[in-house]
Amino acid sequence: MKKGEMENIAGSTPMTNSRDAILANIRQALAAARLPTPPAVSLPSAAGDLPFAVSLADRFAAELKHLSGTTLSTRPQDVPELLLELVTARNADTVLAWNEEHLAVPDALSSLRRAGIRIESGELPRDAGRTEALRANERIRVGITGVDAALAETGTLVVMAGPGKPRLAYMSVRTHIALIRMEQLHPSLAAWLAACPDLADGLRNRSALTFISGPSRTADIEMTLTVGVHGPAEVIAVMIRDDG
Amino acid sequence: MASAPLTFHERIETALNNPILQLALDRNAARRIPARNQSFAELPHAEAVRDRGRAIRIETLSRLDHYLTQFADNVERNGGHVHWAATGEDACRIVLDIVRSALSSPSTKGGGNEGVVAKSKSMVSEEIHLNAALEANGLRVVETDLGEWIVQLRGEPPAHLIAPAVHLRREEVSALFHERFGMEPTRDVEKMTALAQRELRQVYYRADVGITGVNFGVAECGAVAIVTNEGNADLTKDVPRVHVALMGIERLVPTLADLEVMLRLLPRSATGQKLTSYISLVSGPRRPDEPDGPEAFHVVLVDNGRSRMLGSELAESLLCIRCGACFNVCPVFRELGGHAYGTPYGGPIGSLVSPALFGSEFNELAHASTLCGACRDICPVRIDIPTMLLVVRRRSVKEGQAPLWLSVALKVWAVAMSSPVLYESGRFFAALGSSLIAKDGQIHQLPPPLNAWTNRRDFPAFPRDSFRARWRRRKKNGE
Repeated sequence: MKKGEMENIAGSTPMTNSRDAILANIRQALAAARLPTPPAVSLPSAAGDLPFAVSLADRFAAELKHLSGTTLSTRPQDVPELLLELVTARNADTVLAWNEEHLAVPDALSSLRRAGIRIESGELPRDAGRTEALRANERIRVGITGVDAALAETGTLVVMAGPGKPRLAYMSVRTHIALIRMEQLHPSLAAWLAACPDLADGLRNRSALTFISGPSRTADIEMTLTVGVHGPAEVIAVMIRDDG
Repeated sequence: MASAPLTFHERIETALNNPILQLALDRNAARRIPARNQSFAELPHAEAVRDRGRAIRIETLSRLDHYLTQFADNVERNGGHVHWAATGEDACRIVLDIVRSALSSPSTKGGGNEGVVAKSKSMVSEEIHLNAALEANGLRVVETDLGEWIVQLRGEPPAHLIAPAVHLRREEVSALFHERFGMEPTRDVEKMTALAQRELRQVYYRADVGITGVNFGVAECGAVAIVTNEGNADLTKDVPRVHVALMGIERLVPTLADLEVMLRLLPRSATGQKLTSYISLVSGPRRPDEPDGPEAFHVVLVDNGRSRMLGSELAESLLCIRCGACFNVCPVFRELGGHAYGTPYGGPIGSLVSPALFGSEFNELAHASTLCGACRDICPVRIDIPTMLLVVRRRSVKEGQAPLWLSVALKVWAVAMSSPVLYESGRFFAALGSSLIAKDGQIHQLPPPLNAWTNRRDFPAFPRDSFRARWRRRKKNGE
């Protein structure tokens, strides 16, 4: 992959020299540094933290609502119809979607397909045509994704880059619909990290991990809260009940 | 904006005489501080979390060479490129080389290839004047954070760490968008935001390179964490073919678990949020099996005075996580706003960082403080800002920056204070003099140059009886 180009960049800057020089300066500074003594404190373990008075699902929904997002709850077999309803209510004829194997239930997109809604995979060409492909996706207003986890304390969706999981499905659309299985819910970010001891290794093979808490928002003009400035204006979490 | 540079005092006058700015700053403080306090009140073990955050940052700095090496090695293992910039000029040159290389790559044919750079907020880029360096080489740099974009269109620097356009009213933004994009004048902030969304979306698509800042680098996995509410950093890093992340060498944490602790502190301190809308960890370029993301990922590590600062008396200010809470709570920032400081790093913490990074000409900022300590109290990692402001003041006196009248006055004061007779007679005349011009015990107007005080506040008249006289009388009465 453009190996020569990368080496050119590396070769055009005195990389090793400046690395050594900066590290030497740091070591010299540290020999003389008078940094404060770190406070001795240990935090309670994440697992025992946050005993919610309500269920994880209720807490998640309440938090997401507070962030102007929406949580819907449905049975697994009703997911395809619910998605069709949500998509047609937004007058969309095309959706940008994750591969079905990452969508929490089998055949999640079947009703959309039957109704003639186009389903784009969001795969970007590596070289020429990237801009054209992006522009072609621009008019797609609805994205459908699964999640890698969801966090109750903060109403957060956790999404990791990977095959069949285009990130533009949750970044470049107006409406982001995320399908969540109950067992993907964790109390908090701390608890989720504690439950994923191999995450640091997992990131070696993946380019990005994103935590999404509600729609895109800004308060840059007169501190007036506005949603949907760059990312989605609408975040809909679909919680899949497994109680039949 | 390129008129003769104003002195600090002139910039202060300008800020104080700008009623729009004063209103905006009052609103900013009135909203941000209660939001921050409320969110910490709801955070379990809040004080312990702050202690832990402080401990993490101190641990990082005290073994910075180790963590930097670990971080850089891991970025490279993940397929990213690491560049070390000793100075701001080095950093600008490195970024320019990366952009040029992206533009000359034949594989971009049919892509953007117009020399457009999308950029999300980065304090380091302000520090090293990156935009000017890139623009001087014919590139077009577009800020994508809404507030940052607005001030860029106006040709201004940002006015606040996290609220760059805090000094502007909606009417001014509307007028700007009308002039630049022909938008119908409006008071509707949603319409203005929608215009920004449309314009900036095209920028992402056309950009050859996206440049972001970094909130934290995680040493154990070589990932960088980027925190925003708008999602502009995500589009900046995900859409263009090349992502460049610019970070100060001190901006590290050892582990993901440490990152989580810092994330409990940063959004709460900045905006009173538990988490911002988007927090992204970038761990290298798009992998062979991934459908999108940047084809190349570069991290530029910027020293630019930080290693020197680490060995100085101001080292503790390197703990800063750039939340802006000390700005919001500072009674001086609340009157001045960000522009008056004349540096990308203003406010309480900036009055340490600026002299430490940019030199003694910024020592004067440390005098714009009442030393009230509100900054130390609100700082999520409890940086002792007031004590270090005194360090900078001491430096400025040592370097002969104090005005002559001050050293003369202090000498006179020292002589008077060490002689009871001189002290008592001075007090007598001060009491006599002030009783002649005082009304209801307050002096409302003094002649120049003392009117610098009374123009904005009253001065209490000296009491007729000194404490010493009352003390003697009390003793005589046998109490």
